[in-house]
Amino acid sequence: MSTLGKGICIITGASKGFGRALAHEVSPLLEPGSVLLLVARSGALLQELKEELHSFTDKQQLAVHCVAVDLATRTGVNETVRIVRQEAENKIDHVLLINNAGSLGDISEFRSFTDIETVNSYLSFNVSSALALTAGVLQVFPCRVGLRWSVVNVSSILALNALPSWVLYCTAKAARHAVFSVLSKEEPNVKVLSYSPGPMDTAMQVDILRLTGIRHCLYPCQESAAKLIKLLLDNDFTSGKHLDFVDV
Amino acid sequence: MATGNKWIHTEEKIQEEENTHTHTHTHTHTHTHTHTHSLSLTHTHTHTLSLSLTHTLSLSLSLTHTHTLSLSLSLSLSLTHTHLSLSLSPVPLCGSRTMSSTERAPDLGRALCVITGASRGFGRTAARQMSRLLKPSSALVLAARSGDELRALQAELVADAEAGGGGLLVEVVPADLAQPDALERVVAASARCFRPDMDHVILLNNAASLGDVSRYAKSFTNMAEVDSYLSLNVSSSLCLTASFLQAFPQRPGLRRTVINLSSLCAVQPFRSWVLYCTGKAARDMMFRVLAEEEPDVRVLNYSPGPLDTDMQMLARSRTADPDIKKSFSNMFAQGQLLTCEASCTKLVKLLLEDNYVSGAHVDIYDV
Repeated sequence: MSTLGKGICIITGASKGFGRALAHEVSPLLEPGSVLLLVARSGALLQELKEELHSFTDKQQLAVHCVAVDLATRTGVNETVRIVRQEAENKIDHVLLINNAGSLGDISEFRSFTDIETVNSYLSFNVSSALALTAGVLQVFPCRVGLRWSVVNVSSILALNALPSWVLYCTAKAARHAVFSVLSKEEPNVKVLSYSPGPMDTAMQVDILRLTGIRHCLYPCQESAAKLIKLLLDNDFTSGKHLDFVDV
Repeated sequence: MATGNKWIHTEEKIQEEENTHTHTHTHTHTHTHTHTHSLSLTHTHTHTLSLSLTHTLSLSLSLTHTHTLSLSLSLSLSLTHTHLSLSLSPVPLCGSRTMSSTERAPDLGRALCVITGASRGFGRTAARQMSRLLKPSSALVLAARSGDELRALQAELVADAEAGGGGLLVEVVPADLAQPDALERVVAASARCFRPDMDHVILLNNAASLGDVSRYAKSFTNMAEVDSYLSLNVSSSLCLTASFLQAFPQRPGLRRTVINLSSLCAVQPFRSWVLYCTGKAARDMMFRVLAEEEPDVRVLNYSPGPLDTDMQMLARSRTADPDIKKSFSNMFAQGQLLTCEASCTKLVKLLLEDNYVSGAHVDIYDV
């Protein structure tokens, strides 16, 4: 496949890092009449990104909408679904939802996590939000013949491997992998991909360095984003699979 | 139940598989500036090592094959995404085994044992079975929502202990673990019951809920519902365990054991069971992290098998997926569900032998 079709593409956490890189990778591959929804908290950064994409909006008739909401809140998730629903009238042949928004959380000893509200709030943003948003968008676009459905869970090697002091992040990534694995079993017409993007040159990695003192060899976001998009174009993967950047 | 596709779809199989009975792993942290990861490997998976580890990692691994080879190897691996180099050297067996597989302790020691979800099902059975294995002057803290059921159990256990000639302190904490003050009350009760001459503290994280299995993932548009489920099934066990470890810090002569009541659902996806699978997968990972961080704490992810409990009754009556529902109903009708007693006996065996790899997912059918 050489394009992503005439689609609606939703990218969460689109204002920075990997999400932003994905917006750039995806835009040239969406056919005229497509819609790109960029979701993040910062309206200003999203608007900047939208302007960067203007060559696609003009030439390719790609409609880009900035959705400035906090996906850690039910209001934010519901608002995003509402905006998706507004676009449902367009005749599209592909729904591509990229659940990228996520947070690092406190990198701290297991025994420090005695406050249930801290843990609840972390899981809410990193797990519940992705499930609720995916469910919401699935309801707006029920599976039908001629409609291709792709869902990406931006995962991590830490969905599969335990790392000391990373209990929140590991737990949430493992939980997300389970959510999307079950979804893949339930929805044979939805291609579900858990993609572990590798360590990238993002603000999150800056935080990791600051909190742990550990510096990884970082890849440019663009490189990992390109690999993910290629996976989606080739569409060869088994739904529910967990793939890592270095395997692709 | 059909085994289906495990969601360990990729070749690396980093996530432990409970049925690889020949494997074990220990790890030591290397002194490099990169992350150390530990993996469970079987000898059949070593060929995938270069694929399964990404970026730049340094690992030290000890591999022991108990049945095929009596060989201990230390592998030092330096990996980048393109290059794998290995060096092998023999090392003495190390890690989290404390006894050979033929030895079994006679009891759980003079212990403080805390059990959540103790009023019914597996938790209640565990309270009974474990209390029989506690030395005199041990203590049991039982938490659940139903005060009445807890108190009846308390009376029974105290009477049994007295009849057996030993004293057992039993405290009940009627609490909903998702409520803010519940965890504090459980920990406070535990601290009250603890005696300095105790040699073992045990936490059995058993309390859990099934979630609404009558619906599919695409129906979970209500974030609050998912939040509430995760709060009880994931957050509360993390926070309780963290508080427990703080209340009973490491000290010589004190064994610390943390058990997570796991499930096949932790490692395998089931249609219409998104909440339960998610909660169990999250918990398994959580306790694996604990095992990595605190090597002196014995951590067990125990998957008890299909038990004949109230939860199972809900499962077979409400499950939306017709195949799974049928499978459960058949198991029930054909008497194939396990009693809590039978499963708990296996858990107790694991605890007494104390041979399991800390952080491992152990299924009853492996025992």
